[in-house]
Amino acid sequence: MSKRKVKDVHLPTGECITQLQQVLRERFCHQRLPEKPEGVEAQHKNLLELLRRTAVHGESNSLLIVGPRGAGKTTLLRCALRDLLQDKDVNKNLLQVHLNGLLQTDDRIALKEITRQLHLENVVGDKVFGSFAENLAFLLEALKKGDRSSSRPALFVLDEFDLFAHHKNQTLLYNLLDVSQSAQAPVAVVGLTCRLDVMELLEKRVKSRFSHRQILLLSSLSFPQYQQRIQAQLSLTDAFPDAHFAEEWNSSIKTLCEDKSAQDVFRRQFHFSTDFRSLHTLLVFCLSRVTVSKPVIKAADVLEASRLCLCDAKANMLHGNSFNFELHKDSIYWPFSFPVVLQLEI
Amino acid sequence: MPKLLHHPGYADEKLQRVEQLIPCRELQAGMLVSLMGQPQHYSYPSIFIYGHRASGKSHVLHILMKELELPHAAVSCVECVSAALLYERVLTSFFGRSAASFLPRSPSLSEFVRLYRHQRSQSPAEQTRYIVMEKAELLRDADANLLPALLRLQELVDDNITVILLSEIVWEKFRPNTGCFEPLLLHFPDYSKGELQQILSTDSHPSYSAELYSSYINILLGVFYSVCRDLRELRHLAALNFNKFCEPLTEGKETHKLWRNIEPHLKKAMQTVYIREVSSLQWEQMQQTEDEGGALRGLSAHTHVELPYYSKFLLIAAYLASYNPARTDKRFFVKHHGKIRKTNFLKKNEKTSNHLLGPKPFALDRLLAIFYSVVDSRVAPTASIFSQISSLVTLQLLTQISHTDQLDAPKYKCSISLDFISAVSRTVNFDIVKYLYDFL
Repeated sequence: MSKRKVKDVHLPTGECITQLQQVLRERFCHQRLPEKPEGVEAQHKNLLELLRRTAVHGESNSLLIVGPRGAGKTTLLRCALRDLLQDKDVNKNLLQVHLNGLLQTDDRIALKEITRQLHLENVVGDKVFGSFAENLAFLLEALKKGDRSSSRPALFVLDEFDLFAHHKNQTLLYNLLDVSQSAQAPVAVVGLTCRLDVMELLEKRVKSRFSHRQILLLSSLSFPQYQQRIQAQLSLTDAFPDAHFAEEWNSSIKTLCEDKSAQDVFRRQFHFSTDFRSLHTLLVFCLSRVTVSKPVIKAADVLEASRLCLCDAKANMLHGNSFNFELHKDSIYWPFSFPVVLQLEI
Repeated sequence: MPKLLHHPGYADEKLQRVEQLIPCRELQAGMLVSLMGQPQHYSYPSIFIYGHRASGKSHVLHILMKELELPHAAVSCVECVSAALLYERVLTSFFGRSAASFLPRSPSLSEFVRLYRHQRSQSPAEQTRYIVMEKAELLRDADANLLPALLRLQELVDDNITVILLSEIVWEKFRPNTGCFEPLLLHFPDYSKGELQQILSTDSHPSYSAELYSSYINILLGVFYSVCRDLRELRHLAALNFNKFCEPLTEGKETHKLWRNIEPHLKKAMQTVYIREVSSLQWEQMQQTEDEGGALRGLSAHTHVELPYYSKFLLIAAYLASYNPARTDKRFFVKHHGKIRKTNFLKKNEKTSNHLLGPKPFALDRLLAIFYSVVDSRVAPTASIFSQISSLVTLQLLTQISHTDQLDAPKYKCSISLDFISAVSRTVNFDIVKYLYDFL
């Protein structure tokens, strides 16, 4: 296959719009990983370094990624993992276990899930273990490489870490962090949580085994940086099949971002929240108004989308009620009650 | 707004049929279709639709799912009292009965997700799958992890799936403490008067013309619209009263008398059928017997309550205490009283009668004072009298205002209407109107 980029491919507009919708919807709805994480390069480097130390050099580590909802914690971790797994050796050796606090609500369920993800159901079979620690030790023992010299490195990712802290005795956390502190096997424990006070939820014995390493994702963007981010999110990359369409689209996005009313909307959104998720909600509404007959996003679309996102739900519901309270001018002197209004209405 | 009639990815004739089946909801359906996008594209993981009852939420979604033939699982949270039923329903709808049989006895969410992932690897989604959950407010009472997990189900199972929640309650009341994945919020507004007219006119009776029916609907809406905008209620009322409306026609009278004939009838219906004092069956029977002079015997418990003798007087005393201002007690209940000086007492704009303002609270002492002056014989203050006051509270004829801890000075409020107390006082030959300040 020739590596020369085919510059003169022209797809019909309908096809272009379909491709555009696919690309952007994957980005907004499905959280497709960006090529490079934007705005969090230092954290990305830090995380990657830590994971590499476990995967390649056999060091045990524990780490917490803390940030409000929608800040990009899962995206950061997945980007780091993707970059880590590009190394063939790591890809072969590293074992990954992904646990989620919403799904694994109990330590027993969590242990079953760990067994399953490490593909050790057959090994465990019908054995009955005395305690959680024994079970976990057995699992890790079973992961040793063929020549029994060293264990395979294991990565435990705990999503919604704060929910694990509500389990009985925090057994899972204690044992995992215990393993990461003692020299049994190279284990990396990475927790993701939205609570900034997560450390206070941990018991003393758990907290002491934790390395107190935290990566904070508190964004401190300025408005121009936020605008650049919007533009980047909406723009098409070079990988788009029809280069001409991509160029036109990108320039229309640029004009949109320079439009005064659109900027007001973005500024309002910026003051409300700077995380990715609320931005994606707004952009999905804008994207849904792109059709074949109107293959651009106009400022009116952005205004309409903002109106839908930021409308007051309670006011909407109140509007639908049968009673229309019309307060008279001198109503502050007139005591209102339901019988009074009932008499007025009927 | 994007027009419903055309969207790439869905056949035009299907969309047109959808538009015919959902009158007055084209805007909302169009927005939904544009958000759903083409079937093979990803859609936002969760959408939350809110609106009053009978605003067409379930109707629009079911029509869309059925006509556009989208793979979906329709779940009513009222039916799925346990999460296991929900999991079974979802797995059956997407992967067939055999998939649901793999679920263990009392499955946890972890097992559901694992099973889904397993099934998904065997049959991945070519188009977006939808889970439509009605009465989603009941999810708040389920396990605390169910709602946040459902909102981000797309991420957890790694499949092209969207969860649509329908509810009458706003989203702010759903949000968990530590936050969750925020869904897209869509509002379905109420139908306006014109829209109600349009929709109600579609169920016209086959033997009458459409204009007659729509003029009937017009009259009906004129009477009922100010109190009721619920489509289901209005349809019920329209169906109940149509026969009466057509009576003059069947008897061969003039058509312009129709309005005059039906209007008092509708007013009566508003007071009885609409507030369910009379059941629909009773209403139809009454229509047939056509007893103009007789009062409507309602289903309400109030007309059938029989109270002991002193309780009636206690109730009368309570009513007087609630609806007379305290300063007028002297005039009504003391044997030799002076005249009331009217001018100083009237506060600014105090023209509204006490009956409109609602009952006022009174202390127990005042109640007893009025009681002793109202009851004709000498009554000793025994425990039986006091216990009758408590039973009146239990019957919800009186309401206790003060905190239950305060035993020495309880306060009450009388919560019955003038009609009821007139009926009660008539049975003891007591003229209550003479003692009410508003009727002086």
